[in-house]
This record gives sequence, C-alpha cells and structure tokens, in this order.
Amino acid sequence: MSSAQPLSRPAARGVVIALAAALLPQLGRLPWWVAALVAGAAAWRLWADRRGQGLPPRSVRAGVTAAAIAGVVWEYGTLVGLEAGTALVSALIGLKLVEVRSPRHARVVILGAYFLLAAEALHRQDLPVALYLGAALWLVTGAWLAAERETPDGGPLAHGRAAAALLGQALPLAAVLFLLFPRLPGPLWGMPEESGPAVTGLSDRLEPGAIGELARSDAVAFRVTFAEGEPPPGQRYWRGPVLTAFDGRRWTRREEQGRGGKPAVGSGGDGVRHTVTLQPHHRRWLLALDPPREAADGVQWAPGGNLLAEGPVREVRRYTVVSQPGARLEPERRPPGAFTDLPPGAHPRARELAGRWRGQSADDGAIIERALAFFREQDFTYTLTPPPLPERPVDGFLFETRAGFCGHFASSLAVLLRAAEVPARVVTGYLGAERRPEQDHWVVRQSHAHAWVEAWLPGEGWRRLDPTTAAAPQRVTEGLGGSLAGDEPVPLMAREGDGWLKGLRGRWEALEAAWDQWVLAFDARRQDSLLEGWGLGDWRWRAVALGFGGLLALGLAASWVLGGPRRPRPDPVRREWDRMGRRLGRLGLSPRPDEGPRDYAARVAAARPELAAAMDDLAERYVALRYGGGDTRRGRAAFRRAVRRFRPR
Amino acid sequence: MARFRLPGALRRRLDGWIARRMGEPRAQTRLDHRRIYILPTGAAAALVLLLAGLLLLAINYRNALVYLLAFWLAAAAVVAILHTFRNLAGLRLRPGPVAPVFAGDTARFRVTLENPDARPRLAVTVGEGAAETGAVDVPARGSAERVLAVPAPERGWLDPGPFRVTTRFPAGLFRAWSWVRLDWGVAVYPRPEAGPVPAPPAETGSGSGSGAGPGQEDFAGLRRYRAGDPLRHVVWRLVARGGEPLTKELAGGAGERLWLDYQVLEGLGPEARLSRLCRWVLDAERAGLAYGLALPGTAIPPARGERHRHRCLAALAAYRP
Repeated sequence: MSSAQPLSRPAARGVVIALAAALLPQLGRLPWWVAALVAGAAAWRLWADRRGQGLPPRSVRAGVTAAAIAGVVWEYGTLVGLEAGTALVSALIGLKLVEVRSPRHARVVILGAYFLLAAEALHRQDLPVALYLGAALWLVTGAWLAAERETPDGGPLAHGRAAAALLGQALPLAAVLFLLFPRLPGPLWGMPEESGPAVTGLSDRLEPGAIGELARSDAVAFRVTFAEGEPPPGQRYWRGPVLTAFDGRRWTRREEQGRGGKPAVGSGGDGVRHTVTLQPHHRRWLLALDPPREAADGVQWAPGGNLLAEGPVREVRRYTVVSQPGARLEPERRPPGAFTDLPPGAHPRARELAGRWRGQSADDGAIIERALAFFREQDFTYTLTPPPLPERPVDGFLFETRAGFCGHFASSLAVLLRAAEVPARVVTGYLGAERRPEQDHWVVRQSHAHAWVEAWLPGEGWRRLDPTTAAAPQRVTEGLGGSLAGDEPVPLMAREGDGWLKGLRGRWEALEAAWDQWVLAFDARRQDSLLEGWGLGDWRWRAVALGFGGLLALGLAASWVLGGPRRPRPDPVRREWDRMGRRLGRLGLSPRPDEGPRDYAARVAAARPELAAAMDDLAERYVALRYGGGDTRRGRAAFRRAVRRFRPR
Repeated sequence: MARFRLPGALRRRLDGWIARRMGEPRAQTRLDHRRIYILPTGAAAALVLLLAGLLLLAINYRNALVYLLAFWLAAAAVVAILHTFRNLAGLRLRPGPVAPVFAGDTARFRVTLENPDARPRLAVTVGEGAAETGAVDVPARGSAERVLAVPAPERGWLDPGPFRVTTRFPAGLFRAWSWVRLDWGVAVYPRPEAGPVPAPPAETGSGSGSGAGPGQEDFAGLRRYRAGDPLRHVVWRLVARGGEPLTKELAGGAGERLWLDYQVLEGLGPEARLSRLCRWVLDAERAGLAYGLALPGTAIPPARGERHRHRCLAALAAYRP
C-alpha cells in the first residue's frame, strides 16, 4: 500500500546522513574501498535525486554487488565473522543507497545502520564512543521516522524532536529490561582471536623502552576498590604477565611445559580482598595485587602466578581477588634450569661482574644484596628519554649510559642475577595507585606501568626485587610525576599538582568510572548479586519483576504519550483581556459572550463614566492586537502593562 | 501488503461481530479504544529479526552496550504502539455534504476529520482499496476533509457503508485502524437516456408552443429577479449599467408547461421509463421550461429551477415500480 509511495528527497537525504553517521566510527577499521563504495553510492544518489535520474541498469547493480562480495572475501578470506560481516553489511547497505526509492528500501538501510552501531559497540564501549553512538541512534531513528512519514512533514527538526521523544519515552522500559533481562552465558560461537588495533596495555614481551612507551599514556588501565583498607604504597604492585625467556634484547613469556594450575603461595602477611574493574585491552591478563591467592571462578592461573581470563578481555571486566602482599610464590619448588639461561656471548661485562659476585660469595641472598647495592650506589638516572642503546642494551645501560626506565632496570638486574646463577624472571605490571579525593575507588593508569624482577631463593620462594626503586625510591611514594625531572614527558594525570585541567579530567573520569561500573561491567555475575540483594534470587521472581517493571515503565510512557485531554489555553492577549473582564465583573460589569470589545467598552463607559477613558484605551489596544494586525511583542507588553494598571473600584 | 481472505462462514461471523461493535450508524463518530484495532506490520517483523540478531551478538560477546542498544530499540518499538494508537484515539468523524449523482457515476462522500486535541494527528488514511484517499494530517484543534469515492451503479439511495480509518504513524511498525459507520447516504438518480430522444407530449390546451422549444419569447414585462429564473432571461444590459437584475417575463402559453408522465411511456420497461423521464427533466430544465412530473403515486406540479429539478430527480430516484 503505502510502501509504494516514493521517498521524499529530504527523507532520502536523511537516510544517507544516518548511514554516514553509523559508518563513521568504523572507517578506520574498514577496508578503504568499502568506504569509497559507500561514499560513491551516496554521492550518486544525491546527484541523481537532484537530476531526477533513474536507476542504473540491473546488470550494473548486480555486477557491483558481486564485486563487493568478492572484495570482502578477498580481504578477509571469509564472509563469516565479525570483521568480515561488518564489512559485508557496510558494502551492501551502501550499495542499497542507490536503490532507495521507497520506504521499504529505506527501512533496509536503516536496519543496516542499526546493525553498524552495534558492530561499533562490539569494538569500543568507552563513554565518549557510547555518547556518540547514542547521538547516532537518535539520528538513525529520526531518519526512519522521516522515511515512514506519508504526508508532507515539518522538516528534519520535527523528526528529530519526534525521535528524541520516542527514545526518551522508551528509556524507562529499556532500563527495566537492562536490569532484569537474564544474561545468558556466552560465547555461543567462537570468540575472535586477538585482533588488530594497537591497544595500550602490557604485552607479552618486554623490549627496551617498551614500558617507557606505555608510561606516556595516562589512560586508565583499571580501577580498584578494596574491601578493607588499602595496602601501603610499598605493596601496591600489580602483577601482570611474567616473562621468562631472554634472547639478548627481549624478554618473552614461554609457557612452562607440563605445569598448569595455581602456583603455591607461601605464608606471610594478611589477605587483601579487592575488586578490579579492568578496561578492555584485548589480551588475557587480569591484573591483581601481587601476589594473588584466590580469585572468583572463571579466572585462570598462569604458571608465573598472574591471572588470566579465558579469552581476550574485550569488554570492561569486573572481578574480585584476594591477594597476599608479603607472601612469596612457590617456596618449595625449585625452578628448572632454564631460569638461569642467558644467550651465549651476550653481555660480557655483565657476566663478568656477576661472575665476580658469585666467586666472592656462595650465598644467593648476598649476591642479591650486592646487585641491589650496585643499582643504589652507582649513579643511575630514572628517565623516560634515555639515549638509545641498539647494540648492547644491558652492558650499555649498566656501564655506560646508566639512564633508563623500569624496563631497562629490570632487564639488566635479571641478566646480572642469571649470570650469577640465581634463578630470576621479569614481572611486568603496574606500581602504585591514585585516588582522587571525591571518589571511593583507586585508579591505576598506563603511566603506572612497571617492570620488576623476581629471584628464587630456597626456602623462601620467588622474592620481589625492584631495581628501579633502588635507584629512584620516590617512585613508590611519589609516583611517576614525582620521581622524574620536570622536563620529562609525563602525561597530564600523572603529573604532580592539581591544575584545573587535571580537575576537569578527574571529573570526566569519575563519569567514565560510573559508566564502566554500572553499565559496561553489568554482566551475569553483577546482575545476580544486584538482584539477589533485592530479594529476587529465583528466576520466577525475576520474571514477575520484569513483567511488573515493564508494565510500570510502559505506563509511564503511556502517560507521556497519551496525556490527558488538554484544554486549549487561550493566548496571552486574550488572557489579559479576560483578567480585565474579571476585575470589571466584580463591579457587576462582566463581559457578555455576545458582545464585542467595543460594545463592551461602550457599556462600561455608560455605566461608569469615570472609567470611560481607560476602558476605551484598553478596548482599542485589544482590537488592534487581535484584529488590526498590530500584534507585536511590544504591543502585547504594553497591553499587559495597561491591564495591570487598570484597577477599577 | 498481502491480505488473506477468510472462508465464507468465518467471514460472515467476523463481519457480524465487527458490525455489532461498530454500533448503529451515527451522525458523527468519535474513535475510542473500543473501536481501534492495532496490529504489527511486516516492518515490525524485520525489526524483530534485527533485535534477535543484536541480542545474539550481545550474548556471544557479553557486551553490555549491545544489550542496551537492543533493549532500547525494542522499548522504542513498544512505545511506538502507544503513538500509533494515540494518533487515532479521540479523532472525530463527521459526514460532510454529498452531491447526488446519476447512476453509473461515482459519488463523492465528504468526510470531515476533527481533531480536538492540542496535538496534531499525522498521516491518517481514510478508506481503502479503490476508495483510498491518501494520508492526511489533521492539525491540532483543527479539521481536515477527505472524499470517499464510491461508485453508484444503481439508482436509488446509496449508503456507502462502513469505511476504514487507518494510520501507520509514526514508525510504520504498527497499523491502527477503526471501522466507521456514518449516518449518511445520497440519492442516485437514474441514468438519463442518451442519444436522440422523442420530445415529451405537450400538455393539452391551446398554445402556440408545442413542447420543448427554446426561444419562445413573448415579451410580457419585467419583474425583479427571483432565484431560479433562467439566466438567459435576465436583462444584462441593465445590470451592466449598475442596475438591479431584472427578468423578462414571458407570456407563457400552456405549451410552455410540460407534464412528464410515467404512464405515457408504454412499451418501455420501468427503468427505461425512468431513464427517459430523467432525460426529459434535464432537457426541460436546460430549456427553461416549466415541467411537472407524474409518477404513479406522486405528482409534482410544474415549476422550474434547481430545487424543482432536484425534487423531480429525487422522486425518480426513489420510485419503486
């Protein structure tokens, strides 16, 4: 029926704009030719509308479509999967733009635009992106209403208002569904492998300068709340991937063969229970206070003692861990010989120094002390911008430049220890945490990224050694900004002081924290704990609550939409006239419904001659405003003043 | 949209149920929740498919934002039901004037939609199928008029029966409709006979005239113009000079008055007779002659003018042989 009606030009433009808004955030991810295809189709469409051109012949359309599908297959190797699927939908929907002639076609494009919004949400969910997606949702919905409108309409603004009203009225119901709809366990099909974009965060290899790179960003890595008090600054080490293999330059993680499961944790110190809200970083590590002892189910353990998720962390993830700072890992089990391996022929000076230490003492503990003293006493500089050492990263750092960042320090100490036959490994993670005064949680940023060393001692286990703090002890207490020189490229939030910019950013981060906490991290576990707190443990009760809440939300929307019968309000000029009439009514001279303003004025003047002049003036003003075309704002204001002044007795 | 037809017996029961709910034909109708039906359209099915897909994505990737998007769209679709309903509820329909037509023509039934609310009603469609009039907006506290074109194949009284008022506003996801039965109808005159037609017999009596003959002008004086006087007889020269319109009085002989008699037409069937009588009435009126109509059971004395013509034609329309 009405689907056969042609789409109006503004509506077609609206559809193009909606698709562009939905596609915009994906542009960096899509192959360039997809974007070109869509842009070309949109441009053709707008040009054709202006010229009144017909469609290109079917063969051309079919040919381009087939080429697009082939292009997706060539680019991704498949049509299935998130990346390929998104590209395919983008290309096909873009081509559909050429054909959009009726509301039915527009509907297809709109539904495709909604899908693209969801596809973007699968990649990024942080607050700015979410706000953009909300705005894009409004745009796409507005375009839909414009396309479905069968009568000439009030322009894009009217559709924008209508879309905002529709989405706003739907919000309570959406909130009820979000809270109460059960979160079914996923994944239903395989998770994609760790994909593409360079995301800030710890990687599973350490190269010289890598940590320094990471520390230039003050993006939030994760947020923590502690069940009881927070640990002292010296214990705020956060354990990330543990690296065990060294090739002369780079430390990597080599899975220990034949061992899985949790490493033993020695005794010493109290447990610290804390809840971490981790930002997506597309790798598997789950950061926790060093060393973690217990974690909720779903969390796996790496042989190095750090925590792993079952797949790459792509969404904000919340988990609770009990750690025991002060305890040591694996006090009983001696690590295999590989932990003292070094590539042959590398770092001759370091080997020589370590060999001397070993010769002078048989005790591993004493060697460790000498190594740390080396870092403390020699004049090392902690800096984000050391001179580069491509040739001999360890020897050059230890004996020549003596300037570097945590990665250099940790790598060199581990090399020294291994050269002295002490089992050693490098642990990467974060050191420190900050809390802004108005918030209840602690924030750990990429600028807190850190690397340190663990050495194994018999009877004790893996002992944490931090050469960076040996050289720059303020790093623990003052953080990055307080331990580097003023001209270092420290990012904004890591710097000392409380500028207004920092305050602004802090407030924004508080919003982001709430967004992460209440929306993004709202998974099955969180929903369970929330609903159980409300007494809705059983699924039947939840279904009842869902139905009831849904009806309530719908009733709220209905009260907005259906409203009550609204008595039409008279216009302001008429109201003033009525007010004057009421005043005269107190004197027995109310206006009769059948008499006009001039007759009324004559009647009042006849009854009360002293009011004649004022009455005539008011009547003339009223007539001029209502019928004489003199309805201006000044005229109305003057009339209002005249009426207020008129007080007959 | 494809519409399926129900089997005969089921359809009759459904029609009866709908007729009972519609109630008696009324002078004006107000659409309320008892009369409005609402169902999803094909577009709603497409949206449901999309939402199911989004939900699957959200479950698989455990993504709270996609859940939120899916829920929000679903909630918006549900709220759209309220908007579509509100677009019809409270609308008043009133029959407008209808001009009588001849059998075989199409009667144009005017219906006025009145919107008493402060919110406009948008894209309301009246009628369906061939009679559909296209969507219209009814402004706030205003009205709009639509015309239902109903074919009038037979003479007599035409009641267009119930018609449908529909809307798919705002999102095209749901269709709300209501059946309306107004108390109106129109007279359908018999189709005037076409082609050359023998003249009606003149009234008995002397007179120079012999029936239909234009140009009979025995000037007998002037009188003030009365509504219904043939415009040919108005003295336009005087009007052009700024005077009042005056009509020439013509000495009408008995030959100026016609009696159009049903009984006279032997040899024709009843409908053919009526058809010819109709033609005669039209011709006589056009010629400016006075004419009377005689049907079994009805006699309309001779006269002239628009009202007289309508009276005669209505009598022809209503006649039951």
